[in-house]
Amino acid sequence: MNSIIELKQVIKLYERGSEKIHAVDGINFSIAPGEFVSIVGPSGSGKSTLLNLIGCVDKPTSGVVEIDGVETSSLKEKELARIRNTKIGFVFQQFFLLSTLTALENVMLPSVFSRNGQKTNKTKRAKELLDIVGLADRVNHLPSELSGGEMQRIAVARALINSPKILLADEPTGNLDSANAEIVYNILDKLHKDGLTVIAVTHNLELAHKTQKIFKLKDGKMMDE
Amino acid sequence: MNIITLSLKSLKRKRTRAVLTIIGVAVATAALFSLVSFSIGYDRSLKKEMQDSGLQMLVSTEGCPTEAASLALHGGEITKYVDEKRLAEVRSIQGVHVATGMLMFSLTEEGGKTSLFSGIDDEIRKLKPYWKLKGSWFKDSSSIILGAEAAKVEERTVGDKIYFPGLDREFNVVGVLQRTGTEDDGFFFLPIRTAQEVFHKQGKLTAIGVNVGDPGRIEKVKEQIEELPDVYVLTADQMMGQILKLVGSSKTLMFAVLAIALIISIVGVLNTVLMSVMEMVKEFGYMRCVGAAGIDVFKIVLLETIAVCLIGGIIGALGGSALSSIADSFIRSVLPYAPAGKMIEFNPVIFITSVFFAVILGITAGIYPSIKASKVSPMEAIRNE
Repeated sequence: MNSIIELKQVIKLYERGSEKIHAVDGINFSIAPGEFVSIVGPSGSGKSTLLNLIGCVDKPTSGVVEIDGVETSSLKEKELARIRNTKIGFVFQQFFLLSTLTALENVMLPSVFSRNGQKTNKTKRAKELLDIVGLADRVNHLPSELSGGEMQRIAVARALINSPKILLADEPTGNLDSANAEIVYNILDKLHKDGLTVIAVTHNLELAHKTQKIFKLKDGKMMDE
Repeated sequence: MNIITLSLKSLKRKRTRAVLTIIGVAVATAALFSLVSFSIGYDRSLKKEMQDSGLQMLVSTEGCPTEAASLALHGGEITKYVDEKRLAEVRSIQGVHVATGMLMFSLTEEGGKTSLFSGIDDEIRKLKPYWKLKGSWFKDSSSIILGAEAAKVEERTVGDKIYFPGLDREFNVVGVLQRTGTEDDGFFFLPIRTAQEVFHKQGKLTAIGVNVGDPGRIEKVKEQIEELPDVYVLTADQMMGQILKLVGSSKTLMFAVLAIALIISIVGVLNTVLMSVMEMVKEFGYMRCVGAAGIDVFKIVLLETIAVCLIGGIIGALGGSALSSIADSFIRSVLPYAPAGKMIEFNPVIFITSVFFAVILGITAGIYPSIKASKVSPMEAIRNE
């Protein structure tokens, strides 16, 4: 089966003074379309760096990162932005909702930057997504009026507005209590079952064990699957 | 939602800062609107004043042309006089349509009150056809005609008497001029002979006003008048030129002050926007993460700056229009000569130009912060997560 994400000998090196830190050190893996994968490991193991490389937020020092058949490590920033906008949805631990925008507007935000030429009704789509994450009654609420769990669900809806093929979630339940973590996980699971490729970086082993595949990282290296 | 609404939403978060920036831009725009309106209005009013006066040439004795120009329009006293004989000689020159003698004096009474007198003859009515007289023209040597403002200040009307202690003479008010919007409103007009008598200047004139009808004849007639002894001829154009030259340096100074104000305004806006960009680095980084290209972030910041400057520009231009009378009197106070009547009038072209200028100011101030914002890496959002 063709992979939607393919990493070959990916290295990400940071220099701190004379010290060289291998945040990601020679990683190879591939993920098939529609898989639900988790990446686990201790703090500083390179989980988030790996997610950023997959999400085209960062570039590898060497190696190949292929997203949906496109080799991204040699692309220019403008082309990477296009990939982030069209193929990838991002969910952050800190939610990153804009405080002046309502729930609906926050969900619609990535569509403002969309260049895929689709003239679909983004407001309607955003409302549908808010309905999917169970927040249809919070459309006009500002982030300050929402709980942490609600904000993360809005962040998930926002990640889906441009109908990406891949959803990347960096500690999506890290700031949530267990009940809200469960709700968010269930949403991610449902999205995966609907055909979306989901990759979650997490410390939450309970959540990780519910995914189809677990990648364990230590010191930037892949330990086992 | 689009980039424009996103920019405007961003303004809401920094309300106080946005309001202060808008005020800064509004003040600069109001100053720009007022000064440009004034500059255009000044030249227009001066030209109109010249045309209304019907005065195409002023014959005075040799002296300061600016003084003569100011005298012709505002009245005043100069110590050199034209011999009255010149009046008849000027009238005899072929092509002279109207020539009228004028004797101007200012009288300061005890207590510091100054009254402006003008000795005139019947011919002046041809130079000032717009004069509307309530009452009648001079009947005898004790007749006086009052300008509208003079009549109001002295509380006199047709049929009243008026006594000037400084002259120890009483006059009969035979006529009151309707308001002209010119300096004539403040004058006391006497028959020329009476003026010469009370001011002890028999046979003398301050100046001779000349009209030749067809402007094409001005140069030719001027040359002929200049052949007369002890005269200096100033045409209306020269008068205007002299006055414009005189106020030119004042205008330059005012525009220099304006330029400094605009530069300060640009730096102020730039500083505000730059601070805002610094504070929003994480948000821009996050926008980049969800697919915003550098140009999108650039547009957001620039549109936000333009919006602030556009609002400030409109408020400033409206404010400048509303406060035009205050600006008018302020500018008058710093200029050596200003024509009568309202100089600053609402002009839609100047209004739009001023607002456009405010937008240009916004673009100028916003470009650097916008470029800086556009270069924020998506990693900025994640870096300190």
